[in-house]
Amino acid sequence: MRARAGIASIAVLASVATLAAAMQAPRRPRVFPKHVLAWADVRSGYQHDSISHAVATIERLGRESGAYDTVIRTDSQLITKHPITFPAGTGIAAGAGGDFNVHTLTYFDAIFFFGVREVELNADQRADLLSFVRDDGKGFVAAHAAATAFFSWPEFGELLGGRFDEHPWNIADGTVVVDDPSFPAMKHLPARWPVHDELYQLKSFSRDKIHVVAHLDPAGLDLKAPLVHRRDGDFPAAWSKTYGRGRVFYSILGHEADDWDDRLLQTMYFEALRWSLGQVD
Amino acid sequence: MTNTGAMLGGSIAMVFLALWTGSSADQQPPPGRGGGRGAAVRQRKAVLAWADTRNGIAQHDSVSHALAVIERLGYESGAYDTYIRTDSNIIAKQPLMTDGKPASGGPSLSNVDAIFFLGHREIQLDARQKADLLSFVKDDGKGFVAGHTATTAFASWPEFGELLGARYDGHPWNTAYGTVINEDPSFPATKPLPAAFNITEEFYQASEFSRDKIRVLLRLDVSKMPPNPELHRTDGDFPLAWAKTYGKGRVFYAAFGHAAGAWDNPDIYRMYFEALKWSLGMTEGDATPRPFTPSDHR
Repeated sequence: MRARAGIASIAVLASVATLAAAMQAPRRPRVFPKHVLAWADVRSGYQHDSISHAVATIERLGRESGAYDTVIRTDSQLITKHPITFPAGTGIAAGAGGDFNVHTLTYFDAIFFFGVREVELNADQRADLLSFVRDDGKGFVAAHAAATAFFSWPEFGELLGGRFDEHPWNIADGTVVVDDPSFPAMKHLPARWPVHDELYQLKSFSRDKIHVVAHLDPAGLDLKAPLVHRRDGDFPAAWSKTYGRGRVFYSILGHEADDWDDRLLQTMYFEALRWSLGQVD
Repeated sequence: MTNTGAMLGGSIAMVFLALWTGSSADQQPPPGRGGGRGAAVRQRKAVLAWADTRNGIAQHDSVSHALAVIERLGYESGAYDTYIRTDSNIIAKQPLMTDGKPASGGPSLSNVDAIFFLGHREIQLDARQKADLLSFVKDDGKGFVAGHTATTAFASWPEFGELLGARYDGHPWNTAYGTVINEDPSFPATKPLPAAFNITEEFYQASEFSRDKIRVLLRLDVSKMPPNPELHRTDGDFPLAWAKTYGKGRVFYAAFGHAAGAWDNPDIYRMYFEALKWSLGMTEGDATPRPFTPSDHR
């Protein structure tokens, strides 16, 4: 017994010592298997109030699950595969670590995109963005206003799979009907999902090129509203597609900040990201 | 995986709720956003979380997590709404889009009540933007809360040093374990902290500060640190957090937050959260400068 007690107290002492050592050692940063760029360049269009909450939520979901870490940017500096250079005198002295943490598209595994309208990118950046998905097989998950982006850039429409065509019903009640319950981002959803959101009408999409995983039930929509342009009642709410070797997902949902508190919506985008990252098939 | 995330999120939300109700029992939590039922008149304060890091080689991986935590603290407590921006277009009372037209939606120095600043080095602002930023604090009495790398910002702009209260002078021990002395346990941001506590951090050395102009809240106990040739002051004065006023506005800076994990430490995020509330005028604290008294609070 004595010996045991002695061993036990040694063990306790040892664990206290280990704890003290652990407290004194610089905490090792957590390592995440994948890196997501939450890119919401809103400098050239209407900034939805929800965007900051959306990117913060995307960051939290990745960090808490351990699936990915996130760099949040509302500028487009990192949309490049080329080294980023700095004007003389503006950067911190390159010490032992060199140019640390200056990430480019070569570092990221997927983009979560919530930009709007004509985001300023030069020709090299545009080529690198397309190549990031098409050639590198990286992921591209886009939300809501993303469909308003880059109207003057046809290739972006090809990447995303469709374009914004007004929101004829503004913020309204609607029903999202799940078309592919086997798709990772849809598995958790009820067959009919009541939503209250700014419901987008989309155009310039082809069902030959996108895999619609959910659509808006046209029966619940006023098809006589002035801005309704689709006469066939085809209103996709979410789709997946490939672009070259990469995986792309888009959903119309997420206009209001508190939409991003909806577990169903959170899980949809989170699982879409994991799918785009190749973490699920 | 998502279930774990939900549980974590839920428990963090409960902690925040407890913090909120505990720290201001007299204030009722504001109602929620109403289930996305359309835009309402803004009831809450607005914070611009501004971290333009485009002009620095050392971009901290912690910045995005810090911005997200600041956003979540305000959102879940109901104290404020946050706009996250890593560009500087919105540092203007009448911001412009990239094509020069007036900005559409989003934050500006006319519609936010405080800035949380995590930028670094030479951020590009034109003369008008600089004047607007100073006036935002000085004349409009808005808040300015800054973390870690903020002291490295705008080295070529003297007025920014006046606004913030100090400049960056390296981090002699890099990331190290040290003892922090709480010089003012009555100030809202440092009230929850003990008289002294140990923590691992990249302790930034402040320079060009005057205790006639800032009220130091926390300082590093230099006597417990190993000798270091990069330690430039010999009197042991090593501020790590301070409050001050700039004209009509309230300013707070703390050196903490180098690693992303620092923003998961309740001692750290609560300090910034309470600093923001103070800068927003939601709480009161004495920012009157005080002289350095090495014997105090040992």
